[in-house]
Amino acid sequence: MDAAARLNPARLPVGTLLICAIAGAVYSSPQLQALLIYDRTAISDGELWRLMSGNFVHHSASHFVYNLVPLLIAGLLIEIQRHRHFVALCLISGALIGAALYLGKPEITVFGGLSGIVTAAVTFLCLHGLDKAGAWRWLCLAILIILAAKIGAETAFGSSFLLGAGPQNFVPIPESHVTGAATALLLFLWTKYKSLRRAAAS
Amino acid sequence: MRNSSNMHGLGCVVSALLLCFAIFGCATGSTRNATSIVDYLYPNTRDPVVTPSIPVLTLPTRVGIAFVPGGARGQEGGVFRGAQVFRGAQGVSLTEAKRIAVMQEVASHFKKYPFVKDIELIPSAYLAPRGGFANLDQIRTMYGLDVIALVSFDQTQFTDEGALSIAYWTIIGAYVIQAQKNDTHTMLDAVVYDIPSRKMLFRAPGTSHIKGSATLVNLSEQLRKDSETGFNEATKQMITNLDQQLVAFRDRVKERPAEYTVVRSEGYRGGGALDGWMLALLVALGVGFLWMRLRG
Repeated sequence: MDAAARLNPARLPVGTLLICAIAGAVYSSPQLQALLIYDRTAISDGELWRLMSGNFVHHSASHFVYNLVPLLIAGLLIEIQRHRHFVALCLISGALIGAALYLGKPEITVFGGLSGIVTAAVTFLCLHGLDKAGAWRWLCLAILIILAAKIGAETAFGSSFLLGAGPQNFVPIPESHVTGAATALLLFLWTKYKSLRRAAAS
Repeated sequence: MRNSSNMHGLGCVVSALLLCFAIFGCATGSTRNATSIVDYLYPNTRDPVVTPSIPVLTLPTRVGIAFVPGGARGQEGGVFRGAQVFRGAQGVSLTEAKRIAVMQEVASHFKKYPFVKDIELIPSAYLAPRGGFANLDQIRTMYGLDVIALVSFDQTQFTDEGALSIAYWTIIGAYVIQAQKNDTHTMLDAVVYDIPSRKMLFRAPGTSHIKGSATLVNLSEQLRKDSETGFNEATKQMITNLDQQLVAFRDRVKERPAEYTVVRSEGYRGGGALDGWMLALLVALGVGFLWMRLRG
């Protein structure tokens, strides 16, 4: 029984691996990058998929690695703990980040990077952690508070402190992190509301 | 009386033979249409050589596309060579409509790149034959361009008679037997220049070879079709090569920063990037999770 449970495909972090594989494939193909990157002019011409797919494009190797590793960790933790809707969270937050940039940052003509989705994943993970008991709950609460302070500081000062990424060939966009965190909060509240309704009905 | 009749008959035969030679005798030859980027950019060899400086590429950039005008050394308009010129031969030149269509195809392919702000199609009338960089500077001012892709072409069409051309003597054969063998060689060449620095950034050719056949009567029409097919195929290949050369150029810019200066407009490129704080938070989460798992 234990062996069967270990081999259960549901335990595999399929969503995380899928998202990371897509990001890797996009990074390795300049043609795909050109087709998928958030390009304000192309979006205005009707290529709306770029709002979401732009998150999967990265501007450099360090940009790619520094976004992919955290996504891998956050995704693994979410899926190992069997929190549902991880892939939906990635897709919805990606689309909302693109839409928010399009509406709120018209000066940005090109955008790429998974960090908004990573922020959404960490927020989602920690919000679910508040339901757990013990030290994990307090750890998640502490990280949520630090994350909120960090996003607030980024938004206020308009910059972030890139770790070891070297000189970047782009302008960091903290708004993507705000949108990611907000999306995670909304999705978490929606799942709670659904589970409460289900409990009341039963 | 009889002598006069014989003379009249002989005259008819000679006239018919001359007519046949006139119609069928001139059915081989070649025609060439070409424009040269060297003739356009460096028209006067007495001028000192233009020394390019380090290009400053401002991204996103405005790009122009133009066909190099002909007009030098009898180019563009049909230069007939070979022993004979085929009947009805006309230099199948690239019409302005076709040039615009080719430029639009190239433009639509490259508009997708985020570092391309805009692509302007420059009509041929704006380029002076042998205009050189002075002409490019005028175009740069008119359109506000930084970079221009100059497209030149070279198309040669050969026509030869096959063995079946003997059927032309039946007159009907000239209408139904496809004895004219055509070869159409086409080359399109796009050269991308940074106008202010006079520096060639990269180039990409596209070639095609069309083989065809036609009846004698249908020869001109078939040559026009082959010409158009040749340009279409060469355009497709040129776009593919441009894609590859563009990727190679981007790598070259990254590898040799001393040779190319890249300036990005304010807010041109944004990125979602994580910092040390986020990595630290995730490490804390991961370690905390493992620690609690190990403790059971």
